[in-house]
Amino acid sequence: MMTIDTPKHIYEKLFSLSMDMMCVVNIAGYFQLVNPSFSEKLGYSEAELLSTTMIDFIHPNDIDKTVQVLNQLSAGQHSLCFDNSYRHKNNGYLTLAWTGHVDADSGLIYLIARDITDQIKVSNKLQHLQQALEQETIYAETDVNGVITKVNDKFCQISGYSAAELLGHTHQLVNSGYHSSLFFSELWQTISSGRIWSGAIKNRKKNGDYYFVQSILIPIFDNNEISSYVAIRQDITDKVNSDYNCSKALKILNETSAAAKIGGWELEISTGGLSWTNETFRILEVDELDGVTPILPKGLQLFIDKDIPIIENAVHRAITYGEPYALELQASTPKGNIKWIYTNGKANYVDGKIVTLSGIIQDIHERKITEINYNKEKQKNSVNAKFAALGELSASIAHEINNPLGVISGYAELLQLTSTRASAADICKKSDIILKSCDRISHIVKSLKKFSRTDEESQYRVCSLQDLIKEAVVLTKPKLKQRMIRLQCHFIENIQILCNEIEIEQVLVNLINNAIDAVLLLPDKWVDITMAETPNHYNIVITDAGLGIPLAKQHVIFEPFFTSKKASEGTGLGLSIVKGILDSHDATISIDNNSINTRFTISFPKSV
Amino acid sequence: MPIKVVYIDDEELLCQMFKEYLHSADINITTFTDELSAITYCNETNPDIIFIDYRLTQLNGTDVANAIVNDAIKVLITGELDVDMEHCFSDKIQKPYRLAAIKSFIIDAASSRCFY
Repeated sequence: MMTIDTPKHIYEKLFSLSMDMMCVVNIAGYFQLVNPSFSEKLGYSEAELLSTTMIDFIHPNDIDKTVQVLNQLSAGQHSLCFDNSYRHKNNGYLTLAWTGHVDADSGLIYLIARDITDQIKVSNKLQHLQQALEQETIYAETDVNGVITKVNDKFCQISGYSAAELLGHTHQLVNSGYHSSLFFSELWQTISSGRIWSGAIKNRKKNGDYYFVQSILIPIFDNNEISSYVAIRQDITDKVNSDYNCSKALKILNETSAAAKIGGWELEISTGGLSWTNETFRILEVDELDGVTPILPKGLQLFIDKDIPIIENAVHRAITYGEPYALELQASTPKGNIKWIYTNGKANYVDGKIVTLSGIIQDIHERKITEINYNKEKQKNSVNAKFAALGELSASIAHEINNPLGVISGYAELLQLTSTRASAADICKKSDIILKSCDRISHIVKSLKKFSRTDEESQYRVCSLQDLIKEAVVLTKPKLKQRMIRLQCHFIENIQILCNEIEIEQVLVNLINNAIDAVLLLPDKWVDITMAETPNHYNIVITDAGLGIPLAKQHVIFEPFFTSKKASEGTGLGLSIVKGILDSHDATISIDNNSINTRFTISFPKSV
Repeated sequence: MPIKVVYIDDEELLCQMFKEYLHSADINITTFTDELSAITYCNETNPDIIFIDYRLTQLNGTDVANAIVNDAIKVLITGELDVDMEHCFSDKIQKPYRLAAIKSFIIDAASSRCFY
């Protein structure tokens, strides 16, 4: 049979088994009685507790407060409720929440304390969090309908609205109109179903400016019901703007790259992975597949067979020795097109080790094709120019040939006329004149013969510079004579150069012809050809009566197709060919601006 | 009275040959290699026919023809391929010419102008 406890037993059990700390304190402030939980929580033995006044265990900061409460009890207040910090035996403090009653007859105070240390910690933490959020973020609270019930200063600052203007309104007040209604309905769906929503929102200030916030919207529950919402936001306007500017700059860069047909590339040496800009994909006509990075061997195969070893070698040397390269190659695209591209590459180092190569790739197809055609045309024109020069020479030489021919013909007629009566001496004299005239003609024809040669390979041989000038003079003398231009030559004997004699003669004929044209309208017409020797060079100096070439024109006169002559008079190729020929002889041509008259100096290096 | 013919050419051999072939009782040939002396001579003596080479030492044939102010028949002689005949000339003869043809030309011109 189960015994039923008496009330006294029940109270004793409650006292000894309670999780709460119970004690009785006498008027002197000493513990009369403490329950086991009291000892257990504070770490003191019952004897220690009973031998010490209650005040001795209280945190110094709380003593006044506690004494005040106890005085109130003594003054007749029936019960109390307060908290203070109590020293644990190991010197830490517990926060205790007290309730107590005083027994007016005995003066004893019956107290129950509960350890709320952990609750206080959590509460403090929450309080700090709340404070931090309210201070550091754009903070707002709304009711369940989204009506703003609380805002902080930051919200007011960023939105430009005062708290009074915001409270009582929904966030519609700062709606920028940028987001769709679907955006907001999804947002509401999320938070009204109890979940947290986060995302970026574009809002509008009171003054109409826009601002961007990264928002976290949190539903707050009360009794399993959403009672309110808290909105925590960060101003991301600067970031959005800088992202916008960045993407704008990137867009401009992409567009300008596309306009200039320049793409970029980077090779990660450890993996062989290639990073290409959009334009590189376009130039090489490779489809851009998401997440698929081209790799080096594939990149190298995008060139025509002839060029693959060239680019392979260049890339290899760049990776191995850090040698930069710049090449004009023909790419063979996956779409089957062959196009000229310019590509360069350089090594990039990290801690002295080559880790990447980077460079550009440029579509130069149109330029290159134009250049190739131009060179073909130039070559053709240089042949044409040679023929034109030959034609001009032939015309002026006709006179030189026709005169001795006239002599031959005339003396032959004379011989016929006097055949019956002429003396042997007379016949000899006349036939001698005929033969000399033949020699004159054959000498001219020999000079022309050189020009009519069509040697493809250049033939270099050692030639006398003096002879070269003399030959050129033979060819131009008729023209000089016809135009009544005085020619003076100053030779140095025994100077020899290694050259293609036809080409150098062509150079000299060209320059003399130009000199002739230049002095044609001058009252005093002359051309002077002088040989000179410096320590390192043999020079031919051609001076004419003209008064020099304007400085502004000096840099263009060696350009192909530049001419100061009428269309019918010159091709404009003369001096460009002259320069080309001299370049191939390592010789130079320059204009001597120190001379009053027009003066060209050709310099042949002595070593050659 | 012989036909007075002047031949102006800076080529001495041509002058000699011209004179040797054409000079006769009917044709009086005077030659000049120097055009300035020739101009003076022609203006003073009024020859019937003057053959003038185009390319001379100081002046060209056209300048010489223009400098001679009389009604002589002026014939341009040239070895050039591209010299146009100015109106001061009545004819143009291309070098190399045949002396026999020149002779015929002189006789024909003389008969048409009635030098005799």
